Amino acid sequence: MPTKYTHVNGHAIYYHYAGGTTLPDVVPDFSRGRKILFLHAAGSNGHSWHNQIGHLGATHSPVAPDLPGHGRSSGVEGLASIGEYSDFIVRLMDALEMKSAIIAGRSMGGAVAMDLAARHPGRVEALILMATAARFNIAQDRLEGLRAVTVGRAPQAFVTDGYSPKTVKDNFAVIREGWMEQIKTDPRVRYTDVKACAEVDLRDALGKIDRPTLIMAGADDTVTTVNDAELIKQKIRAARLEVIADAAHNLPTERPAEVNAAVEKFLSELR
Amino acid sequence: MSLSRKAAVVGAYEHPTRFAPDKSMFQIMAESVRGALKDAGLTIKDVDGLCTAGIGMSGMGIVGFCDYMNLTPNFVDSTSIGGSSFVAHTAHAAAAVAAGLCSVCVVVYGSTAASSRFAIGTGGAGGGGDPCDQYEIPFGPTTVGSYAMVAQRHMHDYGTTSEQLAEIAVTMRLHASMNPAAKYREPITAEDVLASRIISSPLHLLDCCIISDGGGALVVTSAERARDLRKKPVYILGTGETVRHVADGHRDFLEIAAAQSGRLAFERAGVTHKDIDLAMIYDSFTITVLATLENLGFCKRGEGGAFVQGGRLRFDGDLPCNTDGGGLSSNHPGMRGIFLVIEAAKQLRGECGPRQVKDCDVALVHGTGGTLGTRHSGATLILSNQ
Repeated sequence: MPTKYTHVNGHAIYYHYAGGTTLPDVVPDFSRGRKILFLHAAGSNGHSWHNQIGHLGATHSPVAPDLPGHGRSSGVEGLASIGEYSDFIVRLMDALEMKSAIIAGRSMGGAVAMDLAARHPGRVEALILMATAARFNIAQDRLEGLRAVTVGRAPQAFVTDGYSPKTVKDNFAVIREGWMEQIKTDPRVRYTDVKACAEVDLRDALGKIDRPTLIMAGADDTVTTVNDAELIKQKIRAARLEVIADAAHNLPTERPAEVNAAVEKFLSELR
Repeated sequence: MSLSRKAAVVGAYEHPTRFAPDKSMFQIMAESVRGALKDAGLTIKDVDGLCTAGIGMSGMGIVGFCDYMNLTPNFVDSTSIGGSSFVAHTAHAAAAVAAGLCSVCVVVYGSTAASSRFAIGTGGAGGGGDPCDQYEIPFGPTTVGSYAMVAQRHMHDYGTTSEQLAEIAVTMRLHASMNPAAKYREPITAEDVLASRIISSPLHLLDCCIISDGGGALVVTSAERARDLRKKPVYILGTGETVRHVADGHRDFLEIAAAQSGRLAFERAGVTHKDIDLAMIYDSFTITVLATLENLGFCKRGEGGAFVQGGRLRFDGDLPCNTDGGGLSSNHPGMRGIFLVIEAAKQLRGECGPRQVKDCDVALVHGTGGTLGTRHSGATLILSNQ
């Protein structure tokens, strides 16, 4: 799966994509099928979408960036708010010569996608929202715990609560892989990302969104629940909800076949 | 023949990156050279001397960098003695210029330690494969452990406390909060330092330097030429360098290279401790700063703990130290000696904005390289804007 750098606002932004490689200053060919921009979750990076890029890349043009300060993108800090991230995505799309695209996002990435659709609708052809919420329910002591890591009071916690009990039991490799990706990003970035999620409220913005929307939720997700997904569906006109069994907050890596099938079906229905 | 005031630093540039996975070490170095030459008002065509060293570089790395830059200098120096290398390079560049071996010498450093993920202090023993290592490697030494041993000894002999070491970290972080390029800028307290997990007793996480990518470059030329260039020259008044080692087990742990290199630098510069307005002290760990201040003679042996308390090292205190935030908070890609000279130059020129030291006319720079508890180097410079 090829990767490349582009430059946005003084950041070197790493992105994962499909298809042939090109010279450093030449944007890859994104003319296959639909352009789909995949936005990762708090403290994560674009590699978390590798199952989607691998599968969809043959017939579409999926792209998954590492947001500033994440993964292999430059800088030691993330951006301070969901709004700053969606403004950033607009400039990233300019750099990738994408007038518009289907925007997919998980968790924090889903919030960025919703904000983008509300404030920059011209850039958004359709939305795919996975394991996300219009208003996140983040306990103060979760935030404190993430902050404690940044000052060395606690190590990063290896926990499995973003995963379905089925994944824990039968597919632990996915959890280990998720951990290896998580530690590639500075814990301070994870903390400020979760803080940005705690501070965002997109409930009123949802009414402004009039793009075809696929909402996906893991049945066992306790971080962003099926109820959170229902609340989004109620407010977006052209929205449909798919609940994926035996999956939780990390559904794209937990049940990639089901997620890919749902996405492909959604893409085929779009004009 | 004295070297004093024969040469000056006329260009100083710290690369703004702290994490650049898109760049190679040589790219960071080239961008730093460009920045330093622009600062000096010179071009690459003026450069006829080059000094560099680096962890990610082979012994012939300097030749590789000359290939990258298309340089064929009259003077090359790749003295590789750890983080102090670039402080020593500055002295060597001054000597080369004074001796007529070259006329414009660049000192440059760059590293992708963070994005390339190599161990700069915790995992490795900081280099091995020399005959002396065979007596130590079987016991599993680490770089941080070597520094921790010095801290243990200091606490044992003089009752120095973790709280006292913590003050150093707190001050470096305060300074970093005023440096937009620093990696960590959120203020910390002594309590934060003590509550951070132990890496190697008695050193906590926040007693240890950060890991970053980074780089920088300096331009050194003659005092005469310096007068015609863009900025106020930063004259090199005195230099000194040496090493310390295990000495067959007879080593006094608490006497470090700074005792000798500092004495040489002060003698050659003809200044005393009270003339020093700024001390740029290599801060791989809090103990490095404390031990260095004692060995340079700013306080008596054993009194370092009390000396660093009460805000003495603050940018507005009696002996401002590491006003850029140091390796403890701003920038540490593995060998940070060059940043000591860069910040000293900026302070002496009055370019430091909110962290500017008032009436900063004479600065001392001390670099430490290697492992303080076993084999290390020390290089001292005394610089002035007059």
